[in-house]
Amino acid sequence: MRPGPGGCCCRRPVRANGCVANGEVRNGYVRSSTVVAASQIHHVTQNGGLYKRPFNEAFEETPMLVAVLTYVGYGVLTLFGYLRDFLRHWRIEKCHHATEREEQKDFVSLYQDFENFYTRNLYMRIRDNWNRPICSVPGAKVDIMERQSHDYNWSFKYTGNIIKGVINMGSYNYLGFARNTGACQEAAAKVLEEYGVGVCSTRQEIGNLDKHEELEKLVAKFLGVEAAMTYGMGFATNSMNIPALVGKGCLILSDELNHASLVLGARLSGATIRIFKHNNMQSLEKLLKDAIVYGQPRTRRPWKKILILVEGIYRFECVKHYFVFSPHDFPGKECVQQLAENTRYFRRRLKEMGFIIYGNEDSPVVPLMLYMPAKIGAFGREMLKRNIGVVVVGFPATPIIESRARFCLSAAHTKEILDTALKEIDEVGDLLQLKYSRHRLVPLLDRPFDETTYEETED
Amino acid sequence: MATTAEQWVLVEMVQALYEAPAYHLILEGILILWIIRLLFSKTYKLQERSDLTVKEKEELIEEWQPEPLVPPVPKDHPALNYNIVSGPPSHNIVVNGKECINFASFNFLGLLDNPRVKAAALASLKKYGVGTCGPRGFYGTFDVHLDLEDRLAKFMKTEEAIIYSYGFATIASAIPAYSKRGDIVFVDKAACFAIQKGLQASRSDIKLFKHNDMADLERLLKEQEVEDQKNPRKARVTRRFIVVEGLYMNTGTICPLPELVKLKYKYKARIFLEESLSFGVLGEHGRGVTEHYGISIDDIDLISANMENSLASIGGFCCGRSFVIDHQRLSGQGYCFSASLPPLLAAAAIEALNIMEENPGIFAVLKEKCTQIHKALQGISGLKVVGESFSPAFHLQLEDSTGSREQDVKLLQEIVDQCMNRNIALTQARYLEKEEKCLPPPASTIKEVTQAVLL
Repeated sequence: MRPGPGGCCCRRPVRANGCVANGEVRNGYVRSSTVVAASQIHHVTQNGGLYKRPFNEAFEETPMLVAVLTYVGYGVLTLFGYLRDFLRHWRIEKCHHATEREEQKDFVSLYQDFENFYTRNLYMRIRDNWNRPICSVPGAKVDIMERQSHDYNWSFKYTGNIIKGVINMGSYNYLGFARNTGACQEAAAKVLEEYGVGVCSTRQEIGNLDKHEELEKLVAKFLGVEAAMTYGMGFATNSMNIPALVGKGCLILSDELNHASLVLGARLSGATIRIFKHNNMQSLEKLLKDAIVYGQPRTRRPWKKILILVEGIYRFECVKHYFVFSPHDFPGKECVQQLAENTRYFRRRLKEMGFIIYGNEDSPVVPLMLYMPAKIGAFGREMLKRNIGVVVVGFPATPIIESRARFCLSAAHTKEILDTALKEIDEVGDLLQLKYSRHRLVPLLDRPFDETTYEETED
Repeated sequence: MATTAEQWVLVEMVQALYEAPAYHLILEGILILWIIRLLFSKTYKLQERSDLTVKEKEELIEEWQPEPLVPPVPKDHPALNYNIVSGPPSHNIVVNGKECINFASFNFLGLLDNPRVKAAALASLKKYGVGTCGPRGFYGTFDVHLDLEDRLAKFMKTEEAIIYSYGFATIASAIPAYSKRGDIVFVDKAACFAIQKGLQASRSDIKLFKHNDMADLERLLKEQEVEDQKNPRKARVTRRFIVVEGLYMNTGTICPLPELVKLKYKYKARIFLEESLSFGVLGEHGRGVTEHYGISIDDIDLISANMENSLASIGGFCCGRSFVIDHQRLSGQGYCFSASLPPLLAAAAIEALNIMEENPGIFAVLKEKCTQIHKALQGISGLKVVGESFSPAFHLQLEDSTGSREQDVKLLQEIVDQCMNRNIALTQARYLEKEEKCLPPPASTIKEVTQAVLL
């Protein structure tokens, strides 16, 4: 592992499976933005440390036995699914799900039977792991409303109990701003008193408030760009604005794992879409070269525009692009530092325990591989029993055998919270046999952040 | 020993050859010959690659010039020069420093600066903070969301309701959740932009019928029936939908819902009703166009509305039977892949609903004011009023167009500016001109608001 320039010494644990290091990431965007000479904003190139780190991500291969067992698991579930559908069809088993109106029974059916096969027979069994209602701030700890089901998750009843103080590893509260006290809340309260809640108009008509202008100027300054536009919804930002940039006759090169909003935006634009392998620059370069040299298919006309769509942090794969701003120049920089520390600590400890963790080392989104369908439900439930709220995801959000638990770290998590969580994850990992990794880490003993010592484990 | 074993096997083989039926031998012979042919034939490429040298490729790459990312836009384009509103956009609004009476916001019930609504939102802010930090599936479901869904379902007298965090995304996510490639959607020409985007995302066959023209719609439905008879197998799996709005944003007119329901049962198409303008406006209790006509709400498959007009909050909802609505919880893109509605907005919407339920009289007041102003604006020379008399949002269009849309827009803008000078805030109806399927004629919209004398 070569040390990064700028004196950033080897603080990374040694990995026996080898790092997939693509070398330094040249962020052309940052280079060009130094032309914008905003005096208060120092760009990452001047800061050095964070930006010049080698780009490290790892995706350990799925062990063969685990893959086979996962397929077997899905096979068994599918067979049982067919059996249950059969029983329901012949009314041997009670049918819980809603049905079409009598008056409309001869209409073309609204849903294809097969479309909902997965929902009826797999998702329903473990759906208590999702849509858990909460009743407090989604901070480092959260209060969850207890639900019970007496008909195998077809319907839920609220017991009235509230599970208090559940460690929240599911909310996207990276910088810890989810609070009901403090600067954000006070500012919001002040504006709410004066302006009310809604706007009742569009920006182009009479809905452009001075507050919107202020926000946009601030965002532009923060990111070090000339101008910014803000929207009311994240999903709509991508899906509704890509069509404004490209249209027919243009080419979009989209990463394999782009978010649904980007995919929708690309489709709505009418441009041709080509997919390149996730974070694979060679795949992208080849596509670009071919696109420019050969032009549009069949007519060979040159493309009008080519747009590359990538994400900063991918939700389920967690490869991080480096911060484009310097953490030293805005209040709350401690949040970013704290988040970085938490991330590195958490990931390292999990890898030492022997879990397979995907993604970039600096990404606060930590996917822990579960693989087998039964373990999805089991992990979610066991963690909740131990007062930790986690997010588990499976097909179709992930490839069919790559189900995982996804932890979202936050600057609001203290070390005690992380240690408690890690202890429970360790326990559940042993209980459910989740420690698939064949390449355990050698733990470091020199990190000042880390007060405990462990035994060295062999690879 | 080995040779006898070999010989023995050979004898067996020869025997088997004699005993096998002829067709078997011929078939195997053909297969073997085919395999030999495949092994020795040249592989062919699908697309003949031109043999450009590396240097030529480099040159092509150097020479390629993309179009500019955005086309040049004149500096005085209205989209680059917004009006700036300072302070709350309520009845008296301060636009570009001038205080005006607000006839441009969709604040029909005057709930935007209602103190009860603000208090509820503040209480929620103090309890939950600002955002939800997650989609509904991952710890983004708050008890206020469940409450709001429950209240909306009860208010509209349907089984279930589902909330979205953004009004535009509501109908734009609902339509593609049900209608897929190969399905047929009959939609009014005057449908709003959000519906158009939803239809585009669904990739279904779109059939436009003339605005509010039931004869035209029936004609299209009959044509489809004829098609169905030609291909009954395909017809059995093709879903049909009719998408209409209660009160149309682009024209201020109401849809003829009773005729639509008749057509629905006759031709077996489902109705999706978009009620953003009519929710909280029409009907004795504000339940929208179904209450206005006295139609049973079960006849409408899906009602969608945004909460950004009468409810003076942000977001949107769909309501209907559980059989229909529940599907969106896993297939509504704007629901699954986006953070949920901030709890303070949900609390504000709940309080607004409370006010609506406690004061059913405001709907009659609103209706009266609308008819009053509608009547008063009739007969202005050169301008015609487009919209129902009870519609709180209607358009003023030029009676005779100057000939070019640009000129019309300029003229209307002058009218708007003159009104501003006289302290009346109006606005031109804004469209994305290149994106609309059927661009409505330029108009300035007037939106009526009740007086906020509610406790």
